[in-house]
Amino acid sequence: MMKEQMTSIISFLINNEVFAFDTLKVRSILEFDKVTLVPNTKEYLLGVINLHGNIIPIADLRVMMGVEDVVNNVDTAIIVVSDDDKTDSLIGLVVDGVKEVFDLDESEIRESVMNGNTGLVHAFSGCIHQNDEFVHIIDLKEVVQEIEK
Amino acid sequence: MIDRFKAKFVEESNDNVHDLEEALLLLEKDTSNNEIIERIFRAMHTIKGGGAMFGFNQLSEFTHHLETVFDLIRNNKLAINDDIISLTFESIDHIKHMLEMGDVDDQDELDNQAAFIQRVRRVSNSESDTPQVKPSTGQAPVIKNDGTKTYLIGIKPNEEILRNGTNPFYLLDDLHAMGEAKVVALHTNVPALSNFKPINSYCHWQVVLNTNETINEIKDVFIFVEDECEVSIDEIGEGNLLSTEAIGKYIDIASEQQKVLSKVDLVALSNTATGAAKKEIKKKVQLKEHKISSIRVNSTKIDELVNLVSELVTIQAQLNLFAENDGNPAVLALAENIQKLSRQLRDNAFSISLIPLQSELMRFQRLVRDLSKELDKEIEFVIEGGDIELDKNIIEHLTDPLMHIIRNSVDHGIEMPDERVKNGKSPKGTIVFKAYYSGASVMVEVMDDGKGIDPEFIRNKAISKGLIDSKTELSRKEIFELVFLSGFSTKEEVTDVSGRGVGMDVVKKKIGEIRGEVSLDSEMGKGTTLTLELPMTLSIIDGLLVDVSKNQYVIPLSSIEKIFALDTVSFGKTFNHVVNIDDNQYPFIDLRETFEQELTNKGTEQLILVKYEDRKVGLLVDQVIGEYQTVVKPLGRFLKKQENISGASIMGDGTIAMVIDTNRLIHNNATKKYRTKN
Repeated sequence: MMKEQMTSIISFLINNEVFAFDTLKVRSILEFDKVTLVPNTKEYLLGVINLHGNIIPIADLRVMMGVEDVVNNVDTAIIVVSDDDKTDSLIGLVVDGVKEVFDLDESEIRESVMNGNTGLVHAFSGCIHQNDEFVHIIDLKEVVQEIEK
Repeated sequence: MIDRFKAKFVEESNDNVHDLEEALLLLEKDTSNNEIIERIFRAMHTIKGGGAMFGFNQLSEFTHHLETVFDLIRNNKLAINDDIISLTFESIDHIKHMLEMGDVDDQDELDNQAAFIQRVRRVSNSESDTPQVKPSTGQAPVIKNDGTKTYLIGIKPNEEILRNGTNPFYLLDDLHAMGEAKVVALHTNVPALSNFKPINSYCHWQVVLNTNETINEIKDVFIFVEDECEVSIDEIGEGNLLSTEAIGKYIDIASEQQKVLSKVDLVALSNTATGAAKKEIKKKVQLKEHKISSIRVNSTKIDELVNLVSELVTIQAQLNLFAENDGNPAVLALAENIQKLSRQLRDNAFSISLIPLQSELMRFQRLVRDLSKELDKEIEFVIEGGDIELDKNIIEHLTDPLMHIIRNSVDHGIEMPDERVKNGKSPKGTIVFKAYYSGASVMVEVMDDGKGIDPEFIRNKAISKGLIDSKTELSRKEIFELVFLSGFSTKEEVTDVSGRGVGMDVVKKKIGEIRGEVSLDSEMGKGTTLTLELPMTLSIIDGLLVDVSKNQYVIPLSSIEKIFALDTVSFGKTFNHVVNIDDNQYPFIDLRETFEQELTNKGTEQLILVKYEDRKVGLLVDQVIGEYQTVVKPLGRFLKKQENISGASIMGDGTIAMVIDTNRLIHNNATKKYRTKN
């Protein structure tokens, strides 16, 4: 029998498609509110917010993924993630809406069917089939590297 | 558990090693200072003992051999020379290495260690070949401090002494039995033969005695003749002074010429004989007293404290805002008190994170020493203002750039001794490291009296590298600025010492990261000076809050010269970004344009005149809001690329304002003009 390796992911919407992050990388989820602009930065870097006294940069993941006209509404959310445990590594990513958190066995994750680039995000760590939907798991490292470039 | 003790040992040993290094550098300047030798010996001893206790057996063994060398030196059995000092420096490096590694099994490593120990042992075994000579005492034999003392004893018996059956010679015999003695018999009192009474004693004696007996023992010799003798006993000094040539001669001459030995003369002679050593100690080389009034705290705890206090200051500002809006006098009074307290707390917390520059300077001293030896140059490294305190984080960022700057001075700045003499300079070069406070900044200067840099050479180099156009007119200052551009390195070949592909542009960048500025000035044949201007602390500034296209920005107050409302400003050639104010023309930067924002406001703008190097530049903003003291937080790794903003500040109401780095903003704007590439 195959050893079960449970993992959990958090899914969200971008332009009506479902994507997901590894839950362990997510630090908090916030409503999209006023973001303070930082001038002379890349287009998708919206600015910074104040999260419990820490300055957190905000990147619009929708813009990064190549969505052309982004609309903010009540569902628009900021997912604060960190690829390691340092405060310095916290970054907020703007998405169209957060869907759900669910557990799954790692063996359910299939190789991503996406080939080529989706905007600035070049690689996905996998894809699962859930409730008649395909959920693409985004490799956070990939996103962070792009922003840091 | 044991690991924790081990870590503690390593930490403490590193302190000891640091102390060792410092003492050794002092010793090199003053090889006869016994205090320093003792200090070195003590530090080694502590490392050795601790090493054995915590399982660093190899370290302990190695240090033992090294300690033996210094034990010999301490007992004047071995003379200090350059080789020993160099070997000790190497050994210190080796100790550091061993502290890091712990005990190893690796054969290579073990062979290495054995070889090293051999080298150290060779030094301690060479003891017998080296005559017991200390360099500073010159040719005089060294007085061995063997616990004995030398006394001058005067014996003047009454003339009637012989009538009691006392033979003074027995007294002298007794003294001889106590140690080495030299006797001078004085017979000047012997009368003419006609007055001479054979039963009287006319002689008196002086004895210089070296003995390990106490002065009381000597007194006991005379116990039965107290009434018949005048006896004086004076201590001249420690050790066997009779063995010194000077004193021996003095006694012989006195004996021949029937002169009375004077205590003062003997003491003076013994001092010259024991050498400059003793005087030197009095002269000082004041060793720093070890402070025990301080405690060791993990630096992350301090970082945390400073962070917490920063947050407290922010929240306190929010409280103030609330209290003012609320209007309740009781709340207002409370808020005011808390403000007072949090201010004191903040000042305190920041002062904790300040450490003196001195702590870093040691390694530079070592660097200059090692490098100059390697390059056969003679260089003196002078430190002024080592007690200046800077934020720990700033000092951490400062080490690498300073290392590079000092390397440059040693390698490219200071010439070879013969070349220096040819140019009428002293063969010994000097590098001065100077730190001082200047307003809210700390200035650090590294000056060398080397060959200097030719501005024309820099200019041509920059042209050949395509950094500037050959037609570009540059001031002297601007030419020296070119050195800091990336892709500019003047030394053709890459030497081991400096120019490892990293140039001054890296220095500039590193210093820029801590909001510092670096500039260079040089005079041909006279030397080069690099000046760093550093903020005292990274995290707090007084600023002016302004509005640019509905966003709030903070401009550091320290750089602001004047603020003008637009109506008193008559725009001259505005298309060229130059403005006329009070008969002066100033260039200005429209922040809305620089920040790529829409021009929402027209007609009520204000112009802020800021200092930039030796010029003044205007910054055009929508509105000035007010003065603000603020905690600056870094923007983090994702926004590092952003050059015009040095950080973010959280306002009382929780919103964020960007802190503008005016120097870089203006610099970036200015360089855009003649940047030919990119």
